[in-house]
Amino acid sequence: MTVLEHEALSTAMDRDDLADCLIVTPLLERDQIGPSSIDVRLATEFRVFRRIGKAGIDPQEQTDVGIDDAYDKKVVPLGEGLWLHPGQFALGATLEYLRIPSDLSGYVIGRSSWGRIGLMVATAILVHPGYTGCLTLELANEGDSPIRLYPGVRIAQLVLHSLSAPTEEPYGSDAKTSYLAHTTPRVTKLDKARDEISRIEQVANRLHPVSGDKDPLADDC
Amino acid sequence: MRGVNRFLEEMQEATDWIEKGRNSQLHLGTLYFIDQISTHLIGENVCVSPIPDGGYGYSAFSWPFKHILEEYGVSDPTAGQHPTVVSYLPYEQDSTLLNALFAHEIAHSTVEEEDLVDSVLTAKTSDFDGAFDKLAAELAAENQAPLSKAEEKLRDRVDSWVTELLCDSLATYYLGPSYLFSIAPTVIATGLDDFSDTHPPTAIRVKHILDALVNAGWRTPLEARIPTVMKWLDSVASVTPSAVNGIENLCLETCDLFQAQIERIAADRLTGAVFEAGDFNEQVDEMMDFFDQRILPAQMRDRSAADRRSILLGGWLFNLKEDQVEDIATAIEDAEFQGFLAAALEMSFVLEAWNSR
Repeated sequence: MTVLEHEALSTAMDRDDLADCLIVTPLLERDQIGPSSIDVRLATEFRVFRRIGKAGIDPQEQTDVGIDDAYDKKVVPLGEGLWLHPGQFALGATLEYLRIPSDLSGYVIGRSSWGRIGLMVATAILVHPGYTGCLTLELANEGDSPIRLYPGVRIAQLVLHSLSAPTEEPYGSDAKTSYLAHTTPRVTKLDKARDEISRIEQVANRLHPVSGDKDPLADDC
Repeated sequence: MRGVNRFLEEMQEATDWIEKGRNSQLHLGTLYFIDQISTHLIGENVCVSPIPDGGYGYSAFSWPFKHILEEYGVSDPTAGQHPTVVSYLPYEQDSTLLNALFAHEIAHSTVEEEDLVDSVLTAKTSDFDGAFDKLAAELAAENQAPLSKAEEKLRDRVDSWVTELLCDSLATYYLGPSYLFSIAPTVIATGLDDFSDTHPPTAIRVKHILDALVNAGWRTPLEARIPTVMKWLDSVASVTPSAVNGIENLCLETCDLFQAQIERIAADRLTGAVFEAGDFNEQVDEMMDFFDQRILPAQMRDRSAADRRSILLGGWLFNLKEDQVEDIATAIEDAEFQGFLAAALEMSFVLEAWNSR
């Protein structure tokens, strides 16, 4: 596994066969390709998380419709800004639409200039081979001052590395994949977490059977 | 008191579209595309506001409070601008493939501002004048109305139909086949030979649009790509509506008589901005590869911004690649694809603006 440097990144983007190309579109400036990463910019659409009228988010109970309701959609054209207040959380997206070829994988990390004023940009950082679409960014203001986010700014960087061999099962080849070719921030889908919790419940029941409706994962078990 | 009245009247006129405009949730890509269409169809100094309403429509009026500003000698910051409101169906706000319909509504402003109907009717023949005068006299006698009233009614009807055909032609010359495809769902949903006071029967409109496409060189490439769909559109255009009275008959004759003049005036008005098949051919293979591989068609491989009219047409042709007529209707139901297309439009505009700094 080798991290792609500037020349290798350019070569991957300029491959003759479109099917094998690393796609980063639109690439507004060629100098977004850095020594070992590609700068990605902030897009114009956000999902701003707001307080919900419940005690909290329980992945076991929450339906996806309920989660959707917890976000406000905000569209901020280029030239305008979105204030992110201390403790506030929002989903953004990369302005660039990506497609990672089957022989590459990567991760997206925040730029230090934003991190130093308290802005966290991405937590789900792994980008699989075959991923197609804009990346959803988890934006959180961990500082003490509101931060104004301007669509179009370089917000994060994409680091890519080669795989030992091209994968035969790129992202999206499995019909169960949740995120494919999206152009806007995607809210979380908790169905996989729910399935997993159900399995954990079954395991917990085998370990220490409980009766009736009692929550097997409750603290007092 | 007169000033207060005028203020209230203008407030009333403006409030409705300001309120509706606030509720507009069109994608940024669509808004930028409306700006592009407006610039080419109306001119640089234009302000078009899209609003959700009961249907596709158009209205133009003076800026609110313009007269009050003039009365008090305040210089008008909007002087020379033409405010135009175009409306759309709220449930179609995310249907990017139908964006071409905005071109028809925006073209209404062009037709009105530039008196294009009068330009068309200068090609009147003495036969047409004779038929018009005879029919007006019959209508006046039949309704026991003054001749001038009958002439006015008849002229309004002819003007409305010519206006609609001019708007169709302007939209077709500017956007190419995308406009034809975007009105096709209406063709499927409505009667082909329904007469209306304001609009010619759909079959007549499709015939005019197809003829405009021939003039812009689209016929051969479309037949090569989607022969079945084109055959169906030809069958639609071949329907002959049956007039049941003299007015309808005169209107139908008007459509035939002025067709060449309408085409010429629309093409002349868009000199240099007509979307011709040759323009699309330069990008078509690459564009269709992007769609096939689900790559956002915003930036071509030479790093230039993709042409917006090509993006829209590429989106239609991608959906029609099986050459099935019913795909015209199903294409606009794929919400994910509409968002994809709108994002491509937006990013193409962003890239172009970025490069032109």
